[in-house]
Amino acid sequence: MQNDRPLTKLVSANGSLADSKQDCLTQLVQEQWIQPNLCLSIVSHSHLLREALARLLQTDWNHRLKHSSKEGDTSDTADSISTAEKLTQHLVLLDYGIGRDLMIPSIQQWRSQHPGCYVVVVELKQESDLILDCIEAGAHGYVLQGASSLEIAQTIERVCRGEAHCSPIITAKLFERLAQTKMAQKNAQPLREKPSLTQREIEVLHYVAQGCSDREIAAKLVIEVRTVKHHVHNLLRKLHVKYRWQAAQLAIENGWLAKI
Amino acid sequence: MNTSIRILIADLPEVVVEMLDQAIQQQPDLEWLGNVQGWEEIAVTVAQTDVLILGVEDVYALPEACFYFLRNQPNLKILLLTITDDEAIAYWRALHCHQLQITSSLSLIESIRQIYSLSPF
Repeated sequence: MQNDRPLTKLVSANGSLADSKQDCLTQLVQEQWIQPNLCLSIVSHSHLLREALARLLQTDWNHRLKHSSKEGDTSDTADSISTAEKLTQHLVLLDYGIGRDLMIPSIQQWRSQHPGCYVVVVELKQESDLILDCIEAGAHGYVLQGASSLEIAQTIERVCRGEAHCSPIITAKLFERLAQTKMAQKNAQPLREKPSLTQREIEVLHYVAQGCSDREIAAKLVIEVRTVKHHVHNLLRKLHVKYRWQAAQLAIENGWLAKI
Repeated sequence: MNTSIRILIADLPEVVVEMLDQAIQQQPDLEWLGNVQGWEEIAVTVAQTDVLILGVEDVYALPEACFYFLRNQPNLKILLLTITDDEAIAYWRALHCHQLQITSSLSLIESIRQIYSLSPF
């Protein structure tokens, strides 16, 4: 395979070249469009999608586009959240392409730190459980894969009016899940006992709670990615949860990571 | 004689397609053949195509149908583009390939010209 990589430099939304990822992110965070009504942040790993959303929504909607940011870089996410504090109305477009494991904690993070902030997930797969997880995490709206800029703009408009929209099937499943959650709350123990976890599993859980990917955890602990996957698999089994964000939530809520 | 580069887009997010449509229409040397979904629709138009831009989850796994297109069209270039980040790989005859990063619509247009100019042999 030839691997010339002639176009490896990152290009920010204003077209200028950045020499490093961090420089580029800084430029993106600083980029602002001055429109008075609404601030919009786009979170995606894809430069092309960010550019497309920014351009088309600007044209169609004249939103205030505060910045595009790349999820996965914690300092950048922290930066964008801190900038959002200064604004009264703020909407975040989260691309499902950042991955399910990163998306759910991101929604929760935005919602918990900024209750006034609207969160809309774009390019979401048409899977009921996934949509319900997003809603449960705090998303105000979602747009499925293949949606046009017009559909995205309409969803944003609806969300900003305080309206929610989902298909009758999703609505029915949402009712079902609400009922189940209520039942579960009734039977829930106030504090879950810490299961017996190995030292390595606790270390992995610590990084999972920080939103690190398997690859990042492997690099930090100097172990193979498949070993990390093995530890995560064991963690989910021992904690009786389906997703890693649930494991992280459980650990944080019960203070299991406090001594690390 | 047609000297423009004929481009077919397939399986990319609609919002990205809308932007690329606008961007490519502004380039005199590029011709937008259309945006299609799925192999059946690609097969109808691919014979007139110089560069096929195909949205995929993994650029390292060339779909089976692409082998067939490359075998039958010596001049065809296929650019696999991930829809979740910036990775892309251009494939052409005899499975030559070239790795790229697409970080903007401008860099995509530059890449189209670059891979079009590659020799098929």
